[in-house]
Amino acid sequence: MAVDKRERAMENLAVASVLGFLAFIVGALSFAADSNSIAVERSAFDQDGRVVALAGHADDPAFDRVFRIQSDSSLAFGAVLTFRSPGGSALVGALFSPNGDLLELRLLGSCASRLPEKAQDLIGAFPGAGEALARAADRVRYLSRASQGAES
Amino acid sequence: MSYIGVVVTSVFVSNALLTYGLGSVPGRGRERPGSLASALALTCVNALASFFLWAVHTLVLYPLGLGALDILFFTLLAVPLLKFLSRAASVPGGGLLSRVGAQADDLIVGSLVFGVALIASRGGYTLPEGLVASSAAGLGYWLVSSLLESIRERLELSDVPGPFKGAPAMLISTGLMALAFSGVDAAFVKGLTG
Amino acid sequence: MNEGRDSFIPNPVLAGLVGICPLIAVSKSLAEASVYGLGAALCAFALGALAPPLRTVIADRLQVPALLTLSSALALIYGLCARVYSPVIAAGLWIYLPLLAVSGLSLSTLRRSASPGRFGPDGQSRLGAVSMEALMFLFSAAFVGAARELIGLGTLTMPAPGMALPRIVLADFAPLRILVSPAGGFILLGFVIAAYRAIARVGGRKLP
Repeated sequence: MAVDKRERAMENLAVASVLGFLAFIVGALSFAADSNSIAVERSAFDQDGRVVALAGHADDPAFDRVFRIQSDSSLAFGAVLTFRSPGGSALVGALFSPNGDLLELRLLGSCASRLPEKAQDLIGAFPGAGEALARAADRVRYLSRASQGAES
Repeated sequence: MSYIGVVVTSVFVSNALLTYGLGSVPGRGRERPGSLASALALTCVNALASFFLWAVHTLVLYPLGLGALDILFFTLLAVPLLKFLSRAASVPGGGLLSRVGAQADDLIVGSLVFGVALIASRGGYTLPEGLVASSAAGLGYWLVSSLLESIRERLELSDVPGPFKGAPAMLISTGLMALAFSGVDAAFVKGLTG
Repeated sequence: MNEGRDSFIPNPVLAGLVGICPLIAVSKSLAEASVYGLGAALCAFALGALAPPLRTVIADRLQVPALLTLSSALALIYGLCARVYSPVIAAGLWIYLPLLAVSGLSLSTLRRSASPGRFGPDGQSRLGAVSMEALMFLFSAAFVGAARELIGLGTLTMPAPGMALPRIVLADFAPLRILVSPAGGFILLGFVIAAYRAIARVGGRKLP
């Protein structure tokens, strides 16, 4: 009986160790994938200035990171937003001023959605666009909610 | 959004079956789709699964930068726990609780429970909102599967052309129901419920 | 029903309804459907190769959680690779990449691996059967995705790497936009399955 219990415990430990090792491998791969994502998102804002730093992470369905972008004359923030609708999806680069005003939206890539290519048309495609919102986070949340009902 | 708005959205606008296509394969589980045991099992399992996944994702993994691994730890830790709870509930002769436990045991490893839990944890909800949304998603699935069960019974008695008998007719009926549910507008619900 | 062995292989999606759960949601474009289908196929093939030997070394009571965790790990690895390959496709697939862990194809492969031996009752290799099923799933997913996008939006988005996906635009307008919505997905899949059955009947085979 004691031997059975010990054997069961050893079996449990062995399987748990292997699965823990598997989780470690997947975790390492996820860090590598995150580094790649950060590099890809930074490159989306290359034309706007020098991406100085990663300003912050966000556990938001629409975006993962916010970047601080320094150009010659001004400071801005950039985030790559994911717009999902029942018909399609798109990645959009959004540029904000430090007080949260939306400066520009840029379509980076889309899948099966006929979204407009030009920034002005992209802004105009979403209901309530152009309303004044004080904080960048509110603006981005508004945009992510607007994307739920956006026509593709 | 208010909790009523979250419920209405999860049941109609973002229905688990009709919008996200989760749990599409019919005939799983021992209970009739329209039964009370089925409704309770769907609601409870979805709520518990969402709670576990939200806790694992938000409190443990995301602060460590490992948010993408939530499903791995959910499978490793939460699924055995849910299975244990459902089997503990499904004691013989336990009446409604036993039936709920038995039904829940069949549901746990499936795209419906996993999918609703993922939506609740990654959809930007707080914990109370996530619990309400996932319970309502289970309820919405129960509503649609009950309606589809009635449609299936009628189709069996109808003269359906050979190739359309069974799954094709059910899928087309499901599509027509999805069309009807898509008429409930998210903005309208938000305006109505706040 | 067929007697003896022949070359007709029922399609797992269109005949067996395996894995149709999220297929309806992801098959709104050729790109997303192909990436999802490839993920499901690769995960099922890997499980079909790894599960039988693992079942011989893992105790019975630990097999299900261990194999489910393996399935989740495979799904996560594929999801990470998909994110590196094409961020926009991975973003569009959202929760459906992690859901590969419990896709119908993976679960049916795990169930099949519970039977002992390398060969099934029909004499065919089990891994061979899993491979064929996985390939059929990939083709079915790509076909349904292409059909929905072509008829729904008049475009075909290619599953290419990077952000900017090449798109073939065949119509200046969206012919039947409803098809890219979930409702249209259900309806189209119903018709495709009915057409498959009709064709199989003409070939002398009755499908369930």
